[in-house]
Amino acid sequence: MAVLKAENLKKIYGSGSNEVKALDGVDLMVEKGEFVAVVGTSGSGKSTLLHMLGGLDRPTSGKVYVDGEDIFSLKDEELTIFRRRKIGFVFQAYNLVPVLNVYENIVLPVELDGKHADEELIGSILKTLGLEEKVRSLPGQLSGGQQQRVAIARALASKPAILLCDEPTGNLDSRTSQDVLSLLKISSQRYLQTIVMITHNEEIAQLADRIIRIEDGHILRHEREEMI
Amino acid sequence: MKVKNRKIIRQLSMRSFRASGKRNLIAVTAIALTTILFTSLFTIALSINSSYQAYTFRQIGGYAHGTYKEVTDEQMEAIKSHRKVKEVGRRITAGVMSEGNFSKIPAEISYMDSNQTKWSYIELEKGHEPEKKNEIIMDTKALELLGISPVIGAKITLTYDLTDKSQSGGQRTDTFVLSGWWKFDEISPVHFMNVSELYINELEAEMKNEGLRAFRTDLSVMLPTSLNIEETMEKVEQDLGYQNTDPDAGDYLRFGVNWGYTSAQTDSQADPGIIAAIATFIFLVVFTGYLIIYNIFQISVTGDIRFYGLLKTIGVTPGQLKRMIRQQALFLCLIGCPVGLAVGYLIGYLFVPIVISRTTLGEVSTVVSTSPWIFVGAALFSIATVLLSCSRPGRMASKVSPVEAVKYTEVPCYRKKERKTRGAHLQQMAYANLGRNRKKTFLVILSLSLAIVLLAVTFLFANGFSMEKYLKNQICADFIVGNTDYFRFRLSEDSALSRETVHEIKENTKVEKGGEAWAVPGDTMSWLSEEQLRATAMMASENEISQYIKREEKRGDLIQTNIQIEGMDDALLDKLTVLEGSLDAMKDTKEHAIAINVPVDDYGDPQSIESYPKPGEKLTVTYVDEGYYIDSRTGEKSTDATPEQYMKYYAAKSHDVEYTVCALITVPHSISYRTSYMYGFDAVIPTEQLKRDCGSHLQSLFYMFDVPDRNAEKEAESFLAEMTGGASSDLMYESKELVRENFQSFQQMFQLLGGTLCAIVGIVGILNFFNAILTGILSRKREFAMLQSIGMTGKQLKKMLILEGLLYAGATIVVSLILVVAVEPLIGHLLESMFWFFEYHFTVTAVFVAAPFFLALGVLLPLLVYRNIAKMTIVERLRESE
Repeated sequence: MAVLKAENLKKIYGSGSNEVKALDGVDLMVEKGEFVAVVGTSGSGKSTLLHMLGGLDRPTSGKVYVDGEDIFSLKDEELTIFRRRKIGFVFQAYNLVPVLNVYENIVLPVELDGKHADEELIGSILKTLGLEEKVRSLPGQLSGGQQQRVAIARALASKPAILLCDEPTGNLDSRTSQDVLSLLKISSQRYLQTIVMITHNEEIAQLADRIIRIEDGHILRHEREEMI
Repeated sequence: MKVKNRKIIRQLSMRSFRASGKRNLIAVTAIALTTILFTSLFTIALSINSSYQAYTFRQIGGYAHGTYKEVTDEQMEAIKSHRKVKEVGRRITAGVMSEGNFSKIPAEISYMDSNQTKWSYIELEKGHEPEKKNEIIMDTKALELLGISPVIGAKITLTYDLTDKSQSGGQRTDTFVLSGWWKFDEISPVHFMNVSELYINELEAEMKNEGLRAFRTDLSVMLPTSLNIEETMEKVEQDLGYQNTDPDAGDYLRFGVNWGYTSAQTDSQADPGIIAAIATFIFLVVFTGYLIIYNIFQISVTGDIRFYGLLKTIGVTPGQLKRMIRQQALFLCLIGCPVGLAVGYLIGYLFVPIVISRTTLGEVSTVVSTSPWIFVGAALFSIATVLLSCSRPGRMASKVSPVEAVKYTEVPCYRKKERKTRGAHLQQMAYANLGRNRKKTFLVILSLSLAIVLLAVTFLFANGFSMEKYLKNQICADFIVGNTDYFRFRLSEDSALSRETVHEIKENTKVEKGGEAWAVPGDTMSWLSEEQLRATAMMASENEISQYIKREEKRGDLIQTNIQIEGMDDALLDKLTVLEGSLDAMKDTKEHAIAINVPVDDYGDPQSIESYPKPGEKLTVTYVDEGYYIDSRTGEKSTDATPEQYMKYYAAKSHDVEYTVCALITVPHSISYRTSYMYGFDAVIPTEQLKRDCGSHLQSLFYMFDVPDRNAEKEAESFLAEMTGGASSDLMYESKELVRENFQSFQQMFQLLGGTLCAIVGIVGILNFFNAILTGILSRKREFAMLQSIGMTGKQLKKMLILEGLLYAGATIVVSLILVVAVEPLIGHLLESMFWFFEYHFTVTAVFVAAPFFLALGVLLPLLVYRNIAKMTIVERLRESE
């Protein structure tokens, strides 16, 4: 079953001679539990695609379905609420709230929803990501890799339908990148999480189940790798 | 090593200056407000001084620095050419009119050159200065007194005395033609009637033919500065080889200094209370200005720290960085200061009349100072504030290590490593957000609190004025009616209240209790011990006292001194406060009882009472039937030329009465003489007793009465207003109602001034608040985008920002409450000791008045700024800072 579906997605900035087609008719389908990498050079439209998929920005035309829901039919406020329930984000710049500690950062989306965090799940996520010792630390005290792990934990905490990662290892050295990615992959398997990750790094993309190449707003081809 | 790098540094600083538009706008506003505060303060302070000076000059009749008296032509030329004398004005006086209509204010017939005319406040409404022999100019009041309507060419026949102090040339009658007039100044001591030089010269020649001396010529001078006038004039005299000690020597030259200058100078120097108040105000302004300007620069430097780090990596020195920041600050001054100076002067200009009208001078005396010092001073003070404010941020920018600066983020001083888990609730986040930059938060809260504390102090001040205390001090009866002269401290033989007037008042008002006070027309002397004399001479210097003792008549150890005796009807006696003894003896006419008035200070405390005679002691009073001042060297009647140290009172015919002091009392100011002699007692004797003892008719000073109720008060008020209202009426009255009105407008003035001060400080505080919220939100733009991307709704974000604003407001209210509770009693007691009519009541009303306003701001400001950033989409904001 497709947990994420994009239909003829277009995003055009400017008009006339200044017109830039960031996305030019993208169709995409992601199955539940899949780990998909979107690869492209800078300016290829991959970030725009991710923003559209996560409902951060509205497309010029086209539709995105998450869990069967047409997300752009929702009003802004509803979309935000939908997002915090169904979509988890991991950004390149970690984007943690500096005044909250690790635990508070992780449960933030859940609590913003007015719910109580699933303590068992959080405990398990913390263990998986090796953050048990750091629950009370503030983000400023953590290394880059640790911060990104917190960001992943935060994204997982609300049990979203899909996890969208925007260059999650862009700020990390290659050793740490490997650690973070393997943790990401492990968690996706353990929690049956669907992941869409954008990157410009081929090596990192190889970790995914499937690689989507994007250039000038078009999807070039899909590469499917058999899972061993 | 010196390198020519100023230009590139200036270029760098200008470029980065232009990049920070919003900061500049806020900073310019802050600088302008600071300058406004300084300028309006200086304008008001200097205008009070200049108005006071101008008032004194008008009372004196001119504003020349000084005058050399009775100069010869030769002396005049010499003085004119002395390098210390900037300008001279010449006046030749022919004579005076002091009879009839001119008995109160005499008219002087003289020639004035154009300088002298100008310096005597003669500004012609119409016409020109006298040129032809028979032309004359005078003031409108003089014309009115002469019964001549102001028309150019009107014929005026004047009869005047050709008299000066040393000779009498008899009377002279001449017919003149009116060539101009000016408006009479009510406080002028004299009516000037200016004739042409031609007329004076011909008349003088005529007089010389008759063997009389030349007319008196006075030469007024303007010196380069109004400081040290006496020294300069003395110096000029010495340089030219004249002296002013021996009148009989040939080189004698007398001069007088315009005391308007000296008194204004000493008055402004003498009051430490005012100096302290001004210093406190300046400190307050510097502090408020510092708080905001410092904040603005601190925040902007924090924001640009990467830029400074970058500059350092490419070799800009710390000194150059500081200079860059200083240059930016000074450039902001260049815009902010002129605006502040203009607006501040305007505010001052509008307020000066209001302030002056509350002083004894009255509104008409308003002279708004145009001294350049206002602007120089205000600009210097605000530039100093700005430089002070940007010095620390400058140091911070110059100290930053280039490597660290690149990593620098908004959380500079986060000392905490861990945080207790309190949950990610909005309130918690808002609270934690204020803790990000504690110093900034603290300064914002402090500057907001300061505005409230100021409001509270103003509130306290304006409402602490006690009407009760004021009324009690100002007037002790419902109504007091008297001759204008009595209220204007110019008592003379013509100032008596007539029997008809008193009768008329009694007829037309409901009097519950009333009575008159009486004065002895001639001089009255008494005989005091040296200690007693000294106790009464509080205003005199040691030197003056010893000279006085030396020259006055003595009886054994007792020295002859004036005594001011007020005869009082029974109703007035009831208003006296007895300090020692009792007034009972006054009812017995055989006792010859007298009550001595002990002077009190503003708070009603008697002064040096121990030196006054005890009840039961005897006091001899000499009623002078005929007496005058003589020159102690010659024994002749003294003239104006007699130096004071030789003046001596001589009683040609007199009789003594021996009194027994029955009580030491204080007389409420409003029913006293209101003036007193430099030396000697003020005393009270019952009217009947005084009539019998003094041997001449008494003169009624005023009629005082109380009415039974409020209705009667209103009726009496309107009756008296009408009776005394006419232009020709020489009557005046004081009433509780007038004092009340006076008090209220006095209070309003302080409310207005305080309110404006509060408003400006409040604006500074709000600006600071706005700046803190604005930078707080702008610097977290990306964080907010992130929060929104992980599911914080716009509503939740707004709620969090509002909570932050409310926390600021709440903290401000708490801090100001604490400050007010701590500071108010101190200020209250200080004010009580500074103003006798002030009564301190503890109040925190101001805080509660301000609270809703600040809470509203706490909600509105974040919403306003949020709307501004919400225009950008989340993606745009996420990208922006990457």
